[in-house]
Amino acid sequence: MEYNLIDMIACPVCKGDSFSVIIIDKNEDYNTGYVRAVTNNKQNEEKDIKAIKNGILLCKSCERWYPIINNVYTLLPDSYRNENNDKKFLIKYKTKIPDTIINNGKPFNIKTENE
Amino acid sequence: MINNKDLRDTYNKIPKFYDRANALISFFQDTKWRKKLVTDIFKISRPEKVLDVASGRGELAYIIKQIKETYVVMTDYSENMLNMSIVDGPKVMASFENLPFQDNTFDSVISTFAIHAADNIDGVISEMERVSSGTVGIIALGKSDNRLYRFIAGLYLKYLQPYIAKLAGEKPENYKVIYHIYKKLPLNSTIREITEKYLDTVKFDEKAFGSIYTFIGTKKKNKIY
Repeated sequence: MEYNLIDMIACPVCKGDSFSVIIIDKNEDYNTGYVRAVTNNKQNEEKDIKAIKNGILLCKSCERWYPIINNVYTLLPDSYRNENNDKKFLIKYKTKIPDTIINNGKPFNIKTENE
Repeated sequence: MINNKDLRDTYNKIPKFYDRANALISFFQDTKWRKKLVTDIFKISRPEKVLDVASGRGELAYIIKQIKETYVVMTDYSENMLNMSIVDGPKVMASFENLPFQDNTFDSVISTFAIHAADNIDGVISEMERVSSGTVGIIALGKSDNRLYRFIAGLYLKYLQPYIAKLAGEKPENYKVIYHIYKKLPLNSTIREITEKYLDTVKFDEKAFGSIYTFIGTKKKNKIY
């Protein structure tokens, strides 16, 4: 039986279970059943996607963003996140990520200052 | 004092440390005990959807899939561990104290050789119970209530284990972290109280002078906490 990971996840901080999905790269060879999940979220109607290789999950409840990097969903609480790596991710994919996340994303965006 | 962040850094820098450490703290019985845990869980339920908490490189997921083709989600807070995984399948980088899953999502939630490293073991077990709809299984480093057993296990972990690692070509200082974890662990009786707070106990076994415990529990029928 195939399941859809995105139907199972919750925000590690607020436990919200509704996410917007932003696809940066697809992975056609890696099938973990993300197709239906993406369409379920109604953020993207692409039916031929087998998996998200790189992308972003945006919690609709607390508006934190979480990267999907190389097929791995990164859903860490703020204290475990690496601010520098998160900023590098935003800069690398700047043209494919909404400005609201780039400039005002939580917990980090390109404007936040490192502690 | 070793905290979660220090440990995460250690695991991230040397993923193979994880395998060796597990072998050493289990007297090289880790694979056998994992297999027994999974077999016992499959005897009391037929999980189709399993969460492997702090999966490392997927040793437990591998065993589960050998026993029965099962949908296993692997989670770990170490990026390198997940990237070096020996098993294909969904992977989520997560902290076991804040599992990023909805309530009652998995038929079984299992963690082997990991939760002893948590700063808040109660919080981890509570999270494992929350995301499970059926069973919870744990193998972890424990600490016997028996003083003599504690002394023997402490002696082994402090003085012998790092030097066995050295014989295997490892840096002993990397393995001394295990003794620091052991030192701050609560007694097994306290662990048992924690598990009983959240789950109905099917099995709580101690092995290797109480330095390892195996737990299997099911969701409480009537929650009172």
